[in-house]
Amino acid sequence: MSGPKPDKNSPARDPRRPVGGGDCDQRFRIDLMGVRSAQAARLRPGDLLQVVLLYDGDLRAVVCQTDRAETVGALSAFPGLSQLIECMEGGATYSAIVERSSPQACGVFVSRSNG
Amino acid sequence: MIVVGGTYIEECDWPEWTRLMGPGVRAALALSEVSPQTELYSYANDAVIEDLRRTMLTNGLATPQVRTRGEKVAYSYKHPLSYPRRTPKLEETPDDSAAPQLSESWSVKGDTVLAFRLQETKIVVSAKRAVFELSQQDEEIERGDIGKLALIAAENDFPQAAANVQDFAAQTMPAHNANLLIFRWQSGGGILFDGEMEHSIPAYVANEWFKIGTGNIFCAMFAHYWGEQNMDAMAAADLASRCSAYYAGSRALPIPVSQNLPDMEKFDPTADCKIFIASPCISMAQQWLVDEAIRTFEMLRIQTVTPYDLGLDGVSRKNVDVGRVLDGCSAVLVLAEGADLPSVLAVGLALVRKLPIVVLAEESREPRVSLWQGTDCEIARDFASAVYRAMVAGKRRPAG
Repeated sequence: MSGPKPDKNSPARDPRRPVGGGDCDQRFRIDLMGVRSAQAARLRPGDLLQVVLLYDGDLRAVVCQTDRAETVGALSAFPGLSQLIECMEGGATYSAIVERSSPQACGVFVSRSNG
Repeated sequence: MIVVGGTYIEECDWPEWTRLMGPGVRAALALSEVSPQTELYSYANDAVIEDLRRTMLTNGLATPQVRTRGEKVAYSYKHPLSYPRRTPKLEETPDDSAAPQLSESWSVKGDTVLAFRLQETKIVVSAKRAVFELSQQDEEIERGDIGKLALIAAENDFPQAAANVQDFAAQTMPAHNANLLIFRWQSGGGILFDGEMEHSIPAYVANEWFKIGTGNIFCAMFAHYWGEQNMDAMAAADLASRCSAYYAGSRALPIPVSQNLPDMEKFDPTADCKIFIASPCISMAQQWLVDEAIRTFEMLRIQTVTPYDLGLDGVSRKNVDVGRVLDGCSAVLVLAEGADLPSVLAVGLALVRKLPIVVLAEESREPRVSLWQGTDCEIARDFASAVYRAMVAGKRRPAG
């Protein structure tokens, strides 16, 4: 996966925007894209990953990272990606539980962790 | 490369899977590592256009060229070997002012172009090298100014052609003025027709079989290696077959560069085999699963012996010698964890005959699975993978 990096200039949370809201309570099962073999090979079912929004100019990407901030792969190619990004920009946070992992692939279950 | 192809929502129940995919999206994502300049031309509904745009950019690809279609289209599969259900049904599609009429074609021009049929419009392709995936509606992709053209057809789209692929190639290649034609088998691999020459493309063994979109991966990777890299057509087809098996086994995108593909064993997709299906077969649910396995093997053109043949559905049969029946089989597929006595006995007889045995056990905590530990039986966690593993095992050990 290329491109986005954590950006010090990422927009601050809009205080007018509620963290709650049913539209942001997304829960879904998905395979990560662009899996990084070294990170994925160390994961086990049940491991917890953080869902992180990365910025690179206008580009925003959602990735799953380990507790050492190592990116495992990206969340993309699903209906609702834009909604997820909007929710994260509004302050919603998400985590992902690893359900299967190998050097080639990583399947996770994503759910909201606040609100 | 330019990829032309649809954007749809794809859903599968077993294994659970929901994506924004379709042939165009999947092919473009598959290529994003080996060919990051790839550009997608597609139709998408307003509700998912932003998701599509972000997906392409996240994966390092260019902003896609997207035309708007009126309705959101989804394809739903019960499992990866089932027929998908399209929503909305084609006859329910309204007259849609947002989508151009079919007569308004979309001209696409590039060095290398991979074209899948679009449901919304005709495509006119001009390229130095082009790859078209053929469908029954193949008149919807038109030849513009093309240097070299490869056609790829799939057995599931042209089942009648499988009986005589040579005739199919002899008719189809001149009709399109094509240099190459690849006919892909359902079970993997295929045949490459290169002018007058004919080559077998091997199939590669995958641990699991997520078949949805494997043909798109084949087309994308062949278009890259043959169309962009100018690789020899047979070498490109062999690599495409490997990539396709890699995707079926991992569901991982993008496809890595060839040096990073794992080693995979080959098998002959045209080998004959017969699969013994062992399963309880009394209740409707049990018979539904057996029927689904029979239908799937028929689709793969594989013979079966089923609980119906042995009188295990409550309708007695006379003089059935299970041992002799097993002597004529190449592998055993055990459904429903083999939760009945006849299945256990059949597996015992199969073990004595050293037949490969694949057990479908969807629930890993199911205590019956422990029955099979230490028996060299393979455990498959989903139906499609169980059918596939039994097929591969059978083709590697042809019926006696």
